[in-house]
Amino acid sequence: MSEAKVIHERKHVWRDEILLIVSLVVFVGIVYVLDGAIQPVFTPNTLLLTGVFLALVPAAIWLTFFYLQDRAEPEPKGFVLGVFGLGALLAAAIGIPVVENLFRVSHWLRNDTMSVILGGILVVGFTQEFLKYAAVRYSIYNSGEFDEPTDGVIYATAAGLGYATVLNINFVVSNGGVDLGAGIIRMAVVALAQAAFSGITGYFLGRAKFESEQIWWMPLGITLAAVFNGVFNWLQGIVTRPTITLSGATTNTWMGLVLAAVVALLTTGIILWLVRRNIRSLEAGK
Amino acid sequence: MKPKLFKPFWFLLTVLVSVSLACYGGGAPAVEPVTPVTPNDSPVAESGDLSASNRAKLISATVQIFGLFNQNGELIPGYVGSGTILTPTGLILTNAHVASPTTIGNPDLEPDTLGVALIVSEDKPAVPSYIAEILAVDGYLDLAVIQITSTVNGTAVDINSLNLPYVELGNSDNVRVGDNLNIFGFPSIGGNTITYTKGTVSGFSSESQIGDRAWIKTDATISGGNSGGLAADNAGRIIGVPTIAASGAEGLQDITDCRQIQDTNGDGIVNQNDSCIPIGGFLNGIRPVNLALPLIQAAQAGRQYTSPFSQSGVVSQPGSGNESAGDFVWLDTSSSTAQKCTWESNTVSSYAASVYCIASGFAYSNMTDGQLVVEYWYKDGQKVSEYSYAWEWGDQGLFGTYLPNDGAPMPSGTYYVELYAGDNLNFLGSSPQVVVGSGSSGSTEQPQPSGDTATVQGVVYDAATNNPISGAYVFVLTSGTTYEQWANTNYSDSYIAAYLQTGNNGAYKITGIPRDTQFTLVFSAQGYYDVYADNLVVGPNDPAVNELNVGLNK
Amino acid sequence: MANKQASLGDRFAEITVILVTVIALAAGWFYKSSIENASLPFSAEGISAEAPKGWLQAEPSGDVLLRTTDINSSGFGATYTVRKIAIAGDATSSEIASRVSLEHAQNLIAFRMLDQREVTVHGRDAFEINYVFVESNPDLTHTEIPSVVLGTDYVFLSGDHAIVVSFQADEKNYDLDLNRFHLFLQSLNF
Repeated sequence: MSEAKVIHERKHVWRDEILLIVSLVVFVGIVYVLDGAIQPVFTPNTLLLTGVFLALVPAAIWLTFFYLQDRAEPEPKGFVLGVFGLGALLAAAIGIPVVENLFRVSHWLRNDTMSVILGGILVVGFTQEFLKYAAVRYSIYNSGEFDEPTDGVIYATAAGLGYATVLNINFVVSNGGVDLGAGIIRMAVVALAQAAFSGITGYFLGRAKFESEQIWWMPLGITLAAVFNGVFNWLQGIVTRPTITLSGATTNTWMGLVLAAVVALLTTGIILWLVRRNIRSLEAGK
Repeated sequence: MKPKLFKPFWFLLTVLVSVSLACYGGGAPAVEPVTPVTPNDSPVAESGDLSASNRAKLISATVQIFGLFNQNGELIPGYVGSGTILTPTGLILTNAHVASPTTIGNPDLEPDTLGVALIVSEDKPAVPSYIAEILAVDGYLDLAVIQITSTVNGTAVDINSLNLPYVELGNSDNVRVGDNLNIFGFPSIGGNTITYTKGTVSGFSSESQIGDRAWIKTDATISGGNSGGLAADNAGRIIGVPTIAASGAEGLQDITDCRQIQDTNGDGIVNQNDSCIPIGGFLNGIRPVNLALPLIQAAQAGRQYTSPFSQSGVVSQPGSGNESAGDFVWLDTSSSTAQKCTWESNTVSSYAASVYCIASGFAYSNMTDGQLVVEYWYKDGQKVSEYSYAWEWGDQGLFGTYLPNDGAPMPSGTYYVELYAGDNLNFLGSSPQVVVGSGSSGSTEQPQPSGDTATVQGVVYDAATNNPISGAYVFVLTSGTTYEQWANTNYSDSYIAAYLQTGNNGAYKITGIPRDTQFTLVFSAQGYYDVYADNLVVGPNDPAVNELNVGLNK
Repeated sequence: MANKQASLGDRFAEITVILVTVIALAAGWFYKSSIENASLPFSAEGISAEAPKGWLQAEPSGDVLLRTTDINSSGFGATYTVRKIAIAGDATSSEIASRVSLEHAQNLIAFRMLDQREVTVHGRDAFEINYVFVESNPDLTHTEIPSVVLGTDYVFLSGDHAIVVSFQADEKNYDLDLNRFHLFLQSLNF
């Protein structure tokens, strides 16, 4: 690799992240309104297919932005797509079976606050975050295509969206089709959350590769992502819990999307700030 | 007042069957014969063994018969015997002491109903499948014909579509000494599979009332539970019923091998106070099937069967003929509990609605121990209960008897009791009428002021998919209990006023919620966060029906 | 700055990540087990056991001393029942088992006995019956598909009483829940 290569921030990465968040929320709004206004009638099969199609949308949005804006500085597109696929594959082959069948979380996780948080971090968080980390660490990490700290965030986000896409397809299929208006909210929440927590792992991966970090650096990154993951799920449960009165129950599903969008924006913002600071210090030390 | 040793209500009820038998009062429904049963007279080919196909046929037509006792609303098996299906419509030949122990002098053993277990597979225990009732019984011959009437869950069966495996009748008069005998039955209780015993006819024995062929004797050792089972010739036709030589027969011992295996008096332990169940022992006799023909024909024609033989020592002591009962009074039962009816010596003129039983006292004279006594209880002019029992309290004295309501308070109404005695059921006397509660006849439900209670109904659904959740629990907690308190007691039953599970469409409906009363609603489903509302109150101005659809989150 | 190739430090970091993940998952597994196997002491009429915590627990009524249902299992909730039945001194466990199966046949829809045998379970002689039945909500407003339920009863003899311990669970969950039931069975004292 060239010694002279300048470490710089790929600015479009942040644009892409923020555009993903905003356009997802907009997209959810459109689907929700359309679904309510048109009230399309589906056969079970077309409902299922439409659901699966919607599950692909968050990843498609991000990838589209990424590809459109990357012309100036072409990132090897095949690799990003490959990591996305690897994240999806690991989710389908290991992640979902481990969480749902081996740990059978539906049987005990929502027992009480303690179990939601602890189980969410130790089981769900670590499984998901480790697999997304592995999708990057054991594929692109050692190649020349991972040549800047920011690449960590890009590839990890791709892996996260791959993971989220499979979670959402599984959500649609295992429910035998979902109400589009309600379902799209949930899918957007999952996509935003997975992308955001992957971003944390990605930041740690980027620094791990290009700086001599301590041995605890990467474990810290995974743990942090897992903790965020678990705490986020707990908060989701709280904000979406309906309030019951005799005149009816509130539906707080939208609150879940608001929470996810805020968490995703905050996470992206913090990582952005950290990366900038990091790059400045690297340049200063050159 | 001479207290009567009351057996539990269910047990008195058991004697019902024997009443209809003792007085031959009918009530057994006419069964339309689909396959007329006639003895098969064709000669028996005495060649070797029973063929495998015949054996399979005989096995599948052999049934296990349970004497079922109603204990606290549950039917539990008291004793077990065997039987043989004679027609595809479920006509079964068995012993009288299996079908109705009363007829051989054991009224204490009379079951509430009979269960029939069919063989599904030879190596598996018979599967309890049907309830049967008695059509014809002869205590002297110790033979009975019973008919399957409903499934074990209580659903009536269409006997014409039962299409059960059955055994043809043979002709027991053609049986000779040395002929092969094939005996099928269920030797004892306890999940035992069908047992096949081979033997030969070793002789016959006579009885004065029956004649030369009163019994077929065999060298085969037949164990106790085979009673009522199937003895077939090599052509696969029934020629007799393996029978414990019963009390009515000459020169043969009484049923002495019986033991207490059930908590029949419900006192929590099994001991000598419980009814003795004939179970073990060995059978030494086979009742020739030809003796059963009159019973079978009577049963198929829907006629009443009357035994031509005289018996002694059975329930129906003729009695003096001039029994009487009078001076009927109603006794104070306010100290009774749901479990036990007790009464004081003071009389009452009416009962409160909350009593668990009502009791009548009367004076009697000229009674004979062992004679049949029947009580008919009436409510609002309609017969609601009928008890019968063998008298055992001497020729004269005072007597108390009672009517319970299965541990629930007596329904309001006007009651009286009539007393009959003897074989001919002579009327002895009747009590004055007494009013329980408000005395309102008909519906026992008090008319509710409309709008007194409220309903909460709706659908429990997945908030992320809008799909209904089936099998979600909806709990109504007792007034004042919050979800947290309930969770802290390990979700104890004692805080649940009611609960239900949603159906496929996620729907639930809770009715009868009193107004101005706090209650807590909890919605719970596997893999979802619980959703609850503590201390809801339906106010006086709230609508009677409240729609409440609840979305659960994962 | 050079693109750092996989160094020794990287190798260690990689192993540590795996190690931390494995530790976290192991802790998660223990935590899961501790929730699923959490128990509350139960005792009635000389019978004591560790009943599962967080299950719906019915008060003793009649000869049923304990009836506890896992409301967190899908379909027919896994249910343990402990009954104490008076028996004759010389009754055998197979006799009681046959009585129990007859009761099942009366109360349960499409009851079928699968097999029965004498066993030694957690050091005690018992008679085991395995059966299957169909549970459907009797409420006619419900239109759900009935669930197929597998059941296992153990009949223990104890003096003049028989202790009948039942485990019934949805066909789908029966195997998953069986271990938990044996934990309960092991804790049973009479």
